[in-house]
Amino acid sequence: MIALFSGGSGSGKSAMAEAFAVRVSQESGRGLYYLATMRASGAEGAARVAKHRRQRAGKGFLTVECPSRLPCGIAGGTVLLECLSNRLANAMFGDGERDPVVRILAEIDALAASNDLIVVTNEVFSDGGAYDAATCAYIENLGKLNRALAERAALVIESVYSLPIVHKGVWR
Amino acid sequence: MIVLVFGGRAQGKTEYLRKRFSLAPQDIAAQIGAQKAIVHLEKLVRQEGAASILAKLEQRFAAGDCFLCCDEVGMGIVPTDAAERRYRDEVGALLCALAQRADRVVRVFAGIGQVLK
Repeated sequence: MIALFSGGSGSGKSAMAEAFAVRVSQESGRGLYYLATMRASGAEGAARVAKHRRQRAGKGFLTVECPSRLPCGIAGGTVLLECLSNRLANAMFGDGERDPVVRILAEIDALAASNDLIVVTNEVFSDGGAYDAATCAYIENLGKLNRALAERAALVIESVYSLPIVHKGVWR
Repeated sequence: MIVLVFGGRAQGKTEYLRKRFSLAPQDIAAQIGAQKAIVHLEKLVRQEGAASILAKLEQRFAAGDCFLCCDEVGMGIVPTDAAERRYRDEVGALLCALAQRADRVVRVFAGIGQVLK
């Protein structure tokens, strides 16, 4: 099962996805894994990581730091990938991966084959800003990933300031 | 009753509030006071941050019905400027808290309200 959670900055999507992952895990009895993709730099990055750690503390997540390639050895778990937008940014701007969309989709398919996979992504598509070619390519690639994930997902939720809009599936 | 309305810029949010809840121009202010409706919360966030506004609104709620209006921000590329990033997170924190607190939450799209709560 794949579930996709999206939303803008500060929309509460992470908290919503975490709560959902905990519920899924409690129902299935499958352990919780948290795939942390952020490559934190500077005080602001450290503060953001600390905020997310506080938010999920005590919920039973086993955190796996994976700013580059996603681990393929996890099976029979409830896996929360936080988040697709950082994974893509690292692949494009940090690691210079060729064909990042194909690579990331292959990782996701491998994980989803033997786990319940909950993916957090990001809405970066609606500010109408004029950006350089690299940023435009990033927007295109994240759009492709979001669409491919939404097609595979049983549940697609947009978090709007902590309230869910259900784009696909049944939210309970 | 607390009503929260948000949406993109220039979507007719204030107009929606005015018509839907029969508010007169003098009922609407861009500051936290005695008026029924408080608009442009996003500008107040720029001035004083989310925590301060939340505390003031909590006091205001005790005085009776309150209609709140705010721009939805944060649906674009993460800004390179740290203060702009913080601003988006602050608006998000304020609206997440208010969405939980409000009796009704409406997102306005091209003048049309979508009731989220």
